[in-house]
Amino acid sequence: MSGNVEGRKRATLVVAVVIVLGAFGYLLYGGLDKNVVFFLTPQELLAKGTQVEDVPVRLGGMVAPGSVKWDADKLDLRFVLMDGVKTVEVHSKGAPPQMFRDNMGVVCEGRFRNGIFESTNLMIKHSEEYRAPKPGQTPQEMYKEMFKTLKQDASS
Amino acid sequence: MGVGTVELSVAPARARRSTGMLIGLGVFLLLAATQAYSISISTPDRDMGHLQKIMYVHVPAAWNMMIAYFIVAIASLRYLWKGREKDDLLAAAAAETGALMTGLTLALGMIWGKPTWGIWWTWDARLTSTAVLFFIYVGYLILRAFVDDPDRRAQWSAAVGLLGALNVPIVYMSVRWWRTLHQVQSSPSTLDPNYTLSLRINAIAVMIVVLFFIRHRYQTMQLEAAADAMHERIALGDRGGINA
Amino acid sequence: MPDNMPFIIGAFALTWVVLLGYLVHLYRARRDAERRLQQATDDLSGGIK
Repeated sequence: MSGNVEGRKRATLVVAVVIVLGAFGYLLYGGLDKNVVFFLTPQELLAKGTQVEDVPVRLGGMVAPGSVKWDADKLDLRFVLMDGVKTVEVHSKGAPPQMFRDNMGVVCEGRFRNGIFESTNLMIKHSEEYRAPKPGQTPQEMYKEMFKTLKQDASS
Repeated sequence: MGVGTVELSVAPARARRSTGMLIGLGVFLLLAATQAYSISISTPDRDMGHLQKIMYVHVPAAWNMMIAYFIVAIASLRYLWKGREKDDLLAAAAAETGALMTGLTLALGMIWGKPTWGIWWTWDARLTSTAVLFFIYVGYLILRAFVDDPDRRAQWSAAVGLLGALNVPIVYMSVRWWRTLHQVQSSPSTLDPNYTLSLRINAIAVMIVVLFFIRHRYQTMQLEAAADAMHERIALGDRGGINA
Repeated sequence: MPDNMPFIIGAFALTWVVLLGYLVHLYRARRDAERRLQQATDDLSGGIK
């Protein structure tokens, strides 16, 4: 009898380990690998040119003040996303998240087609430290700058 | 290993349980008090309104899961160094509480993410690495449940426990190392002073809860190990014919 | 923002359910462990007598 219990326990263990390893592998290779950079900035997107034409991609930046055109009847949203260097026009269907407004950080999932980013999913990137870079800065510098100011904030 | 290990008797254990229950009551009253106080002094955030208050449960859960895994790492290392059963049990107790707090952190993050970000979940580096951390320790607990030999269980657990703990700094730094949807850590200068105070007292209250959990579970595991050791002695005694 | 109240209440409620639920689990596990230890102690002394 005890052998039977042992056998069942071991079988359950094997199943459990397979499930855990499977989940682990899926997370690592299915999820993280592609998304180490979670989104591109408008400048990065435009620099990639035809490489990103009509390909699923994420675009992140700030909502350009005064650019939001919301048609409540058609649930049609148009706005301009900026990173301080370049801008991209975004088109989206459906109501945006409630915190969507001018100067807010936004990440859109969708495809870049004929100069317009067709977004299927809008996400708010909430962070007071999310700032547009000054003209001439590359996005990398912007992020470095963001971290620098953060560290200064922390030490002051 | 089994013979001659921890000798524990029941009466003092019962007494310790009564004190444990009293401490538990106090710990939870403290948490209720810090939550009530922080909710009462926190004015609505300019972006989030009252949603900001979810910070007082989400962030303490995340910080304290890290404290729990730190204990796992230290105890696992000590076990590998000295081979004492006690260290294995302490690591296991801390891992259980750590997994609980990681699960809570993820769930609270989803509840916070939906109304602020607009989504329950996404695969950015912070969320993904936290999910990986959770699954490693769920695996750790499953491993312990299904390996019966105490020595083998302790060695494997120590290895998995350390592997999991290595992931903790990755989770913490993920928002700075990679570009994520999750914001970087706040600091007192990026928070309203009321928010800072509220966050700190809630983090301390949750820390006390977590340490209480680990201590209580650790004591229980010692009782279980003592009972197992006694059963092993009985089994050996039967085979050796002492009872005849 | 009354729309968000369910999320806020949900977050705090979930925290309490999880923490108190684990507390109950801890106390049960402790009682069982004491019972097992008592049983083992009885068996051991009974066997030697």
